[in-house]
Amino acid sequence: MKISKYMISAAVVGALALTAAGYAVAQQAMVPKPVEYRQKMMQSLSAHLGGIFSNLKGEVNAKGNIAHHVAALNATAQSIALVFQPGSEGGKAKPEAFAEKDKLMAAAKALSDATAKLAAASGDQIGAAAGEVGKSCGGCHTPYRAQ
Amino acid sequence: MQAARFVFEEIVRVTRVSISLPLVAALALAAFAAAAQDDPVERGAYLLKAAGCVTCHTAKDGTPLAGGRPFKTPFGTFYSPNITPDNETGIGRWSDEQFYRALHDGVRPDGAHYFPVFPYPTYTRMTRADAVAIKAYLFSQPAVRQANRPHSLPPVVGWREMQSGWKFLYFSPAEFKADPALSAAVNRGAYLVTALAHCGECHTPRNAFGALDPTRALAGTTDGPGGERVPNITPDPETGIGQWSEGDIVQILKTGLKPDYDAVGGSMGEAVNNGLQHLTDDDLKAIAAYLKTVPAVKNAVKATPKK
Repeated sequence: MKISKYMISAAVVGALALTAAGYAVAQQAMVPKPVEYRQKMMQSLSAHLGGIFSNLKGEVNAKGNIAHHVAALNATAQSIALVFQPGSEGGKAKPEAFAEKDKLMAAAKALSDATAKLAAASGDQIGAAAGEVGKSCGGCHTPYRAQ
Repeated sequence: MQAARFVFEEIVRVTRVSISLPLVAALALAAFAAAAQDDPVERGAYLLKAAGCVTCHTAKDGTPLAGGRPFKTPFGTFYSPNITPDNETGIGRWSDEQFYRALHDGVRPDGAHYFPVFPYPTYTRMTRADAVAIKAYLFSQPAVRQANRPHSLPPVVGWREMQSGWKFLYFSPAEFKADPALSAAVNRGAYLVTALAHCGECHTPRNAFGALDPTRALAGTTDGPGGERVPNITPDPETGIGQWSEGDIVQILKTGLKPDYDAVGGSMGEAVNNGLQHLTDDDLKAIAAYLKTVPAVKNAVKATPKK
């Protein structure tokens, strides 16, 4: 079989495409660990807050877990400050989050205060208290998370 | 309050003999509620939240409503003005009519045109009574002396006279008219979305001259304020929020939580924080009901690659 110019150029194009694809995958996989850690902690907050709301709204049927979600949400929120340490820059966190550390920590404190109130709430108050926790998330996301 | 108490005492005096006490109490309660609703300052405080004035008219770490927030646009950088009742640097000398004309016609008291970075093309739909109530609230707030920062615009764009041409092409002043064929809730939602809360000012794509595209209302854009990506909020099931329940919509406006329980940030975070979360459940439900009725537009607002 004679190798035509066409075949060579097709092979080159193919190889380039594979390299580019591999590079893209590598780029995606290269989330620094401190950033990944923060993302996982945020997802954990979201999972437990969601667990409370989904049960209250009847989207899922596991009301017995609400107390667990409240406790886990509160525990995670109390430990959120450490996920913004120097060296964890990147991801969706804007540079301002690290430049305005005091304000970020004040917003983090508002979150942990809101979850503490939720942990102290009972019965019909839980929905409203969880709503306050949701609002407090915006205290950081609004100024410090890129869209 | 005093008027309401007087009404209450009058009712008690007149009806002492003939009507039972629970009815008197109910009437008095109604009188109190009416008094609260008729107080323009109180009504204005609520409307101001629905209209989100504070967000744009407050600089970062600045005094609320004293202006100075920058808006970087493809046409240049605009700075919001001081809308506190200061006589020299704010709107302290404005009449009700001048305030209404600003919102309804996009015209300053001196007759010059506003740039549409001020969302008068949306606020034109606001009723006069609501506009005047907002002014009453603004005038109840402390006057702040803070001179307006001039816009930083290239020539031609900066000529306000040119704005009459823009208005001729893209603007027609008209107050909102309720559609009798629709429910009261949907009409209320339509008024909130298209007049007060000015959702379309961010969620509707614009043309090359910065005018909102009415054929793609609320369909989202990759080119929102400050280059933000703004989602499609029409009921398209794939690219919009067609799969959200009305409860999901109320939830995000009230708590900032999306249906997947991620919390919104950016401009929408500000909108929730400064205003929408304070709206009554009835108003939030009305917004949700209206959003379910707008035409679905297929428009995937894709994330732009990060630099």
